[in-house]
Amino acid sequence: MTLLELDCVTKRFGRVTVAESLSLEVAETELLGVVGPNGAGKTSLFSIISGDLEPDEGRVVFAGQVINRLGSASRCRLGIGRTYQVPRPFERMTVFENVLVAAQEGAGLRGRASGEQAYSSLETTGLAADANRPAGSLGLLSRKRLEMARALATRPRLLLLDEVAAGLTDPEVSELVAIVRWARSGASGAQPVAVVWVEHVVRALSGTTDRLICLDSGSVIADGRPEDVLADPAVRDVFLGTDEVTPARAQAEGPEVMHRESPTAAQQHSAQQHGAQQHSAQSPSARSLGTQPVGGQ
Amino acid sequence: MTAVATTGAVSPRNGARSGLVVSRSYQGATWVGAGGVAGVALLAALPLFASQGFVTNLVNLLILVAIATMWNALAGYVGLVSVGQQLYIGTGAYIVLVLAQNGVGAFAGLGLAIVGSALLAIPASWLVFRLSGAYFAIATWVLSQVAMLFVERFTSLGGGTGAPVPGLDVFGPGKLLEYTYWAALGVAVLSVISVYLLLRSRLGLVLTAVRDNEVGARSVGAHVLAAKRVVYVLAAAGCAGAGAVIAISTLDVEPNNVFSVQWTAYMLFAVLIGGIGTIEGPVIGAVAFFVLQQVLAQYNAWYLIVLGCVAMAMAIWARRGVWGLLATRLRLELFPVGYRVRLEERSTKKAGGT
Repeated sequence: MTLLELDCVTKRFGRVTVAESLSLEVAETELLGVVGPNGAGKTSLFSIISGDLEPDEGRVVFAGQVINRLGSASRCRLGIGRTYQVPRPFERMTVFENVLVAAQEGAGLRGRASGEQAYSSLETTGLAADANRPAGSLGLLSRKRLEMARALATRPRLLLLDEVAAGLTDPEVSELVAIVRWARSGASGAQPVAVVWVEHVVRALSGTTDRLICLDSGSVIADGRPEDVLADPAVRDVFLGTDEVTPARAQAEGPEVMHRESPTAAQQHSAQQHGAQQHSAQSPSARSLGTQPVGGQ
Repeated sequence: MTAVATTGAVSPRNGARSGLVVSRSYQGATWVGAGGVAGVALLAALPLFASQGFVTNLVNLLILVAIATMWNALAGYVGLVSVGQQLYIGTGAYIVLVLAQNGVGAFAGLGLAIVGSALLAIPASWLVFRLSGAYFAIATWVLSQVAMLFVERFTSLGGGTGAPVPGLDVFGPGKLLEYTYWAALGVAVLSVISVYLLLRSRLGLVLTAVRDNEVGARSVGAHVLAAKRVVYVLAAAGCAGAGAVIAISTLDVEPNNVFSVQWTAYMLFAVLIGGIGTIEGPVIGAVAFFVLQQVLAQYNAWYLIVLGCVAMAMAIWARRGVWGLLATRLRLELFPVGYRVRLEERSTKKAGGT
């Protein structure tokens, strides 16, 4: 059964189109990976689903209800939980309080039930031992776990993960992947959830997702089994060179580096330009990107 | 440390979590509470033995405590940096005046001023909440100016020069000061207690989350706008109480005084000095401001220069104020609004703090 449906969604900022009659379906309990180069519209897609952006055209349907005009708080209460790429902890509150707000507001729990839900989310994400620490004292990996714990405590039916792997080392990424698997399986006592996972580091997704889509210039250019999508020539075009670069970079830079976006972005843009020159006939979207002046360089 | 280890730790205890203990207090909270009650009782008894000049000064301090507490609730928790709280000081004062002119006692008028201003704040919030950030700040200030210009149109209220509050002479000067002092004490204590109770409630958890990260709060399902409206209305009520006390203690209501932006400057200064985003901060800041004011009063213009320097120094080097410095050093918490959690049973893994 379809849980989330995007129906011909378009969103523009002036002349920049971040979603171009985008249509997408996510089934209940499915794990969908979303990849694409910088500026492909991944985060915008995410914001359209989570309610931070309202689409200009098209419909967003969740569990049979059109949610175009609902704010992010209301969508969360309906069952769309999200994490942010750069964690947004409530720094002066304790870890437990961070998650307790989510259980009370997002899941609508009260009193004892909210405490139990919050604590069980902390256990799922391995943060139980830090429950009484101020969230501001956590390191990056723990902050990412806290993002996930908070999202899980809202008892989502759909979980949106935004670049969870960004800034983490390989072993750390594996830990988070294990948490996602564990949370999805329903073994933690909660209902099973569908996951939409946007990731820049393609490697974190492969082997984890059932289905992968690739975005470029606000459109879906490939959709299917992960290995098929990654083998797709159109996908290889937009990613040319980058899927080899990224794992090595992630290891070399370690967990503290949060500003990886800019050098990677510059590299990807140059990769896109390169690709556009070579394959401009196949990939009109890449060509249009290539002709624009690139600010990142 | 690894996810595998944690998941292993969870599964055997699936569901059997009878030992989860969430506590909202701390050791010695009863003593602090008893001390607080004793302190308020002592303050209440003060007019019986202190000099009239001292009691008059304390009235001003208590007014400052009330309005600083309210401004902190607005700016420190829900990010509403209002520079127009004098709107409600003014409405509070004018409600007392109008009621007194129609035969209602000034102290009964105080209660009605609080309720009336809170009701006024609801439509006003629809207006100013359309804007945010600096635009919100300007809008609140404009609204207070509009209110001032509006009441100045009424000759029965004394126009631009204001009017005396009738009916206060029945008490006699000594008694009037005592009653005024108790009214000020009541408004200040109620302000602090209402903010404390609000923060301890379920909504309080939302307010604290909004203080730390508004976007994050929204993303976990908190209806931030509704929370802001509650705080805005509460702050209106508190400031109106203070305004009513100002009207009674100065014996007359002048539009240029009660609608003066100076009041907002006072609250802002007290909150920044004491520590924004805490219950204790504004109270301490109000006392600090008051003491500075008394000490420096004889130096005329230097008084403002020193105050300005103190404010700048605090903003640069101690952004969490006096209370922020004290609380982190001494691990102090007078008002228990937080949550502590631990597992109590045969489980070896206890969730203690580090």
